[in-house]
Amino acid sequence: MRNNNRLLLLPLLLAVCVLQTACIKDDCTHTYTYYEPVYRTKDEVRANIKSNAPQEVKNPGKIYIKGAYIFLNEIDKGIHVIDNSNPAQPKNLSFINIPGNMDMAVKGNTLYADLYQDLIAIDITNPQQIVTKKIIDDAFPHRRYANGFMADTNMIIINWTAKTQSISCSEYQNRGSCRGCIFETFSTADGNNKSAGASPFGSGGSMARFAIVNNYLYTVGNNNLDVFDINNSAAPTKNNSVPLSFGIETIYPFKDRLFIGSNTGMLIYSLQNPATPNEIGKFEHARVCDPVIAEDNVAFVTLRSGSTCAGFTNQLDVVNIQWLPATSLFKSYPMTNPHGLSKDGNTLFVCDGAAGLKVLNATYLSDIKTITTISNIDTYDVIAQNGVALVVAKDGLYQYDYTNLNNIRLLSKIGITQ
Amino acid sequence: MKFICLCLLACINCWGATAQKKVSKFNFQSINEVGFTAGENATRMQFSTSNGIGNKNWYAGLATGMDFYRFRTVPVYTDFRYRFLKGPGQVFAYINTGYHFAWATTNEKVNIWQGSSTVQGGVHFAAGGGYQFNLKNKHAILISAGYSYKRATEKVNLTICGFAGCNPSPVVEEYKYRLRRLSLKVGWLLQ
Repeated sequence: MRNNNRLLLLPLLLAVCVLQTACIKDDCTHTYTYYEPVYRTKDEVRANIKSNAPQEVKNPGKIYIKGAYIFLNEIDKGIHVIDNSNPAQPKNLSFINIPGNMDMAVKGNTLYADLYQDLIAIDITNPQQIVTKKIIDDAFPHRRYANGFMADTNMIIINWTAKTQSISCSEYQNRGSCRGCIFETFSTADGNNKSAGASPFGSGGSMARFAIVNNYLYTVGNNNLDVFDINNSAAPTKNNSVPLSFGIETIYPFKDRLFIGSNTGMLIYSLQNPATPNEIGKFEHARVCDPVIAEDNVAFVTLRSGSTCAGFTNQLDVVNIQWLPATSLFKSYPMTNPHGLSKDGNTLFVCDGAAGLKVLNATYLSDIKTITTISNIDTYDVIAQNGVALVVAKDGLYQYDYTNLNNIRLLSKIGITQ
Repeated sequence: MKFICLCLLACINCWGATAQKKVSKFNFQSINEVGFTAGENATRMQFSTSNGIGNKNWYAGLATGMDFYRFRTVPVYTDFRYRFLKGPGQVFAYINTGYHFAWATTNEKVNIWQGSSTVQGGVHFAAGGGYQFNLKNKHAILISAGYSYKRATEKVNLTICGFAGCNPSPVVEEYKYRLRRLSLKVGWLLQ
């Protein structure tokens, strides 16, 4: 009997060994969404850059304030024009269709905006009847490939169509294409903060990549600082391009200086010769993202980790810039995931991501104290001026009255339509 | 893997005589096993306990345990066995059907593409055969080999970053796994 048992077991185990080579296999199916571009001709797109009917805010980006108007970027789509003469009841007036738009700046009655790689100058004398004045082709070559695609050069991507596909994981891994590029259209616009530029210039923020100082428009790409002469506001001309290190993120003007945030530090450029900015100082830190604002002797830098920002640092750095070119870290304050920041007098506003908006008393830089935290909003950027703080959050554009710092009130909210 | 199979064969051939025992018509039986699942990309530990009713040839029970292949899961399944022949040792065949409940570890929930993931369980199926070495005290030692199938779904929340920053809402991508493994177990039968 025992022998019979063994005889039965032998073929069984042999069968298992055969199975091991034939059937032992890990299958994996990867279901993902990709986006196909929807094209229009350049002529069609440019003809549509006008004051169109207002649209709902869906994916807000950077904001810019000019007088009683808010210009709110809808990432890759255009600009919402909002009448904010009554911050408690902002009115969405119109929408300017500018595909690929992510940045803007205003001088006088001219708004400068990017349309992928092109720069557009728009007359906003009447924000409800805007007029395109000039388009500089290929002003920003680094924006030429929209969302990682090599777009048809005679066409412009105006939208993306989502498609879902399921393929084997091995096939997906071997595609060789950039996994994230097609999703760039959903990238968040990081916001802004109060600029030192006075009227007639508008106010951008600490997350801006466009800045205007007097008769020059400065824009930063990934590794360059472009200079546009806007002496004739309606007819900008590209003047210069200053090479920078890689990882440039933001630009912030203050008096005759430009503070450029990169993911490894803050660069300070002098505008003594405004057509040819030259580096006069640098503050280096670990690889993280770092929006910056500055005053005469001090710069405030928020360092945050996560996503492409890498690193593990989340803090507010106070940097001494009194003795340029020497810079030194004065003090660091821990934060959760700080983004844009703004300062009005001695009050510092910091968007701390999901931890909300932090309102800080920065009278004494060695002892910055929290006045209050507005929680339950996921904040990206803030512009604080004249007692009203405009906050770009994940779910909309908020306005707070902070004339009484002990009783900050929500004035209004423009919600996001999903 | 072939080495493991050869070892199993050697063990069988080296087995000496064991006492034959009487098994009542129906009785409670508990089968506790530990072993490995060996697949295309890894070999991982597994253990299980199956408790049910059996007679001299049949066994039917409900089983659970832990399976560490690709994702940590807790399989809950029905366990049917049939013992062939009689004697101090018996050949048996088994078939299991059930569901793997996901209990992914922290490391398993982190995807290399900058995302966090959630893991969902899936179907469990196993079939195979083995040898039961009956001991004097109604207990038995089991050794078995077979095929084991496990399904799982991983949903990865991707944060995609580009020129202007990162997408405000994570992009969710889905991976469906169908894991076909060789299962090797040793166990203890209590009845």
